[in-house]
Amino acid sequence: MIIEVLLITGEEHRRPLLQCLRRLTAGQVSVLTPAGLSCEGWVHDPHSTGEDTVVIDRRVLPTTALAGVITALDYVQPFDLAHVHPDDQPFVAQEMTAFLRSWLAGLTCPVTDRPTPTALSGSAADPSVWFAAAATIGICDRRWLPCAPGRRRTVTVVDGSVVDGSSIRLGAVDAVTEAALELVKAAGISAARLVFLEPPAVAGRPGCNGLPALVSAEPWWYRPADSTVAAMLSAMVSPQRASAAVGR
Amino acid sequence: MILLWGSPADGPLATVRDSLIGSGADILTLDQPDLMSSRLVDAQEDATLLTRAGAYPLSAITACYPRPSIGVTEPSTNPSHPSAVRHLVNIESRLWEWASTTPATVMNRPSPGATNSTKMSQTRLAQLCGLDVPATLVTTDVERLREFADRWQQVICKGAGGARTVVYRVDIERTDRMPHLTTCPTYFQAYIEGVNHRVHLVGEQIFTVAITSENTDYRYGGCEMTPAELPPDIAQKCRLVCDRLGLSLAGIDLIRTADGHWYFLEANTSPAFTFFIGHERVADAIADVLTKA
Repeated sequence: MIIEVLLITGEEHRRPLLQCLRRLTAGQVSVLTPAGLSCEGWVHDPHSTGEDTVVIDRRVLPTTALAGVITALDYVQPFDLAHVHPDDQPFVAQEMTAFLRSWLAGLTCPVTDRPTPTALSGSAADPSVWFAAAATIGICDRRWLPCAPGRRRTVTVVDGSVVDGSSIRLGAVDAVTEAALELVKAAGISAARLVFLEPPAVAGRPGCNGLPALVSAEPWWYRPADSTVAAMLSAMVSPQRASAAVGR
Repeated sequence: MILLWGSPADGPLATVRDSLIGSGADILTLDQPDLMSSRLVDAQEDATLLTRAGAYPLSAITACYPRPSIGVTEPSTNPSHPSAVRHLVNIESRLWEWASTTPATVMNRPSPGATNSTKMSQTRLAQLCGLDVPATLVTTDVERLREFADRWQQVICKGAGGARTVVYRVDIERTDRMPHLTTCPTYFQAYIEGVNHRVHLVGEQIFTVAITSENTDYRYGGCEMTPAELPPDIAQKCRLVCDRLGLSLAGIDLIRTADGHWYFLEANTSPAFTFFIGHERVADAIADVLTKA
């Protein structure tokens, strides 16, 4: 049985992700773009996924052959479908998005992150999810700090660890990394890129409690870094993940 | 204040608006032209919507019925001015963001509202709630489709996403169409012979209409409607589906077979209820939920 990690992406982000994979010389990673859905062999029964199949590089495989799926796409866009007649592109894009949402939801292997009704790669692109999560753990958000000066820090979290952060010694815990880790946990998102305003800039502002303030949050794949992709792949194939996937 | 977000020319929004006006409710109707000339200003832990008509703190909105036009449809929004389109997209995004988290009653919030953009996810949930669903296959594989059609005799094809599509019965012998199957995984279901029912759930209230038609898709080509009642267990399961989807308003499509079996087809999260008889009662019920928020 072939065990592979599948990375799903669209035209907009395909190139930087492929460059990361190439630099990492990541074998056993296959890339699926929306055009790859226009192939004979896809089968999905949403009520009984046991016989579902996936088509990777024109090979028809059972979905049980997948070690994990990394979704770097929120919805299929008409411009992803150059092979489809332009008049049909918007409709086909919606249908493919619907298919991927149901297919991803039915997989028993690890999927980062699981789809929501509004996005295939989970909630990371939904500001309301981040700001609601920030409110639950007492982190102030940028909406109430329209003109706040101060140093901004960007951190990327994957699977409970900070894997990329400007001027952060990886592994070190400070207020920003702590806030980032708490925030992704509260939001129920396993991978994201977060921007914070550091505590001195927010000190004394009502509701900020001296904690870093959340400026913005976005899916990790909007601006992929090698370290992020490496962490995603490592999380996919870790024995702990594999056992956690059993029974999902 | 109750926010009606959409065009006053939209049937469902207009009937809810009439009902609210009749009851003397304080309403604010916002359409694309209003939003084009509006802006949202952030203030300490609140935002205020500034329109030509006045300033409205979002915290003063107690309920919202969103039925915004999809995409940029307003002619005054000249697509040759990208900044105008950007402004509209931006302000609509901010309003959806507000609608996701506000303590106000929203019928429906964006995430639950998006659930009918994947009909298979709804049928999977309905099945978990104890409702029967038609056998389903989503495929690009002609042979698998033939096997499915052989097994279920009659098969229908419909859109899996949010776009409105005409449901039709599949003629598996139409070999000219089969090569197109590889364009995109396509949604097929076993055809269920029976009487269609549209069930509108509004808060705790249920309104049911039975629909008979000669056509596979009753919306096209004529149909007859009569008021109907659901068996209590089916009504309960429909409520459960709405609860699990997070919907306070839904138009659920069911089919009852001649031997009394009920099948769930889909849940419309922004139902065009004015197509059905008795729609005034549905509008009044929506207005009632919005008013009591």
